[in-house]
Amino acid sequence: MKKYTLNLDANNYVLSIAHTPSDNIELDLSCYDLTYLSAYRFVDGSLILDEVKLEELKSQEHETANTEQITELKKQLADTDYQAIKYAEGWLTEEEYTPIKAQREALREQIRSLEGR
Amino acid sequence: MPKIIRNGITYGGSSGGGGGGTDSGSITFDLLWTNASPTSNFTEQTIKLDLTGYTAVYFYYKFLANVTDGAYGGRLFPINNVNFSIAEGYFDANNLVVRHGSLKSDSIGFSNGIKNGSTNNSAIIPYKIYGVK
Repeated sequence: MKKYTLNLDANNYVLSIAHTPSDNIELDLSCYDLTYLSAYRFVDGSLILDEVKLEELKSQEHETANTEQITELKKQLADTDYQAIKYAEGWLTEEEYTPIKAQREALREQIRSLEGR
Repeated sequence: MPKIIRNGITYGGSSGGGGGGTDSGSITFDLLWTNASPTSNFTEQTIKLDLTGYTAVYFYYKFLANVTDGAYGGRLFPINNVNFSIAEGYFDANNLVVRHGSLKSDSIGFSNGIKNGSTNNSAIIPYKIYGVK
């Protein structure tokens, strides 16, 4: 087994695992799925997965992904604002604006859905 | 022309020869810390490192935790109890990843990562940290 240096929080949850000149903890990292590293606690020389914390982290990640997607959709909506203004000012015909309007409404619908409205 | 030594390997020129000048010194990079789980998110934390004797720290980092391609970067900061910021754009200018931190002679503090303005600890993952002298 290789040796590592662990950085732990006050409750012994793992913040990071590293190699340093003072590695002192033997671990077989191939035994662990470290995608959610901070869901592990270091107890008696082993990493123990805290299922409750794991679910919290997954939930946070889902929320973050939602927020990012909403931001991206709002940007896409804003990118077509100028076309709505051109239509309002009479520079686009009804025929030209119809597909843009449908696209904007589809974006709004996705945003509402992600926001749970 | 200065010599650059990284993990015992010397880069750059030396005194005399084609350069024709005097040797103005050398730069040494000592590998102090390597992230053993660089695909994991990196939460806010302070890493204890003895940086005594070093004048600067070189960070080698991944833009995002889950990248497997060439999205890596590096930054050099002096050690003088100051805050630092690493910001990188990826794909296009609308995608920005940021990590703030602070450097002291005995530790390096990292704040939570930020991706496109929101807290996201998959942003700017420290991969290797070198002491520079």
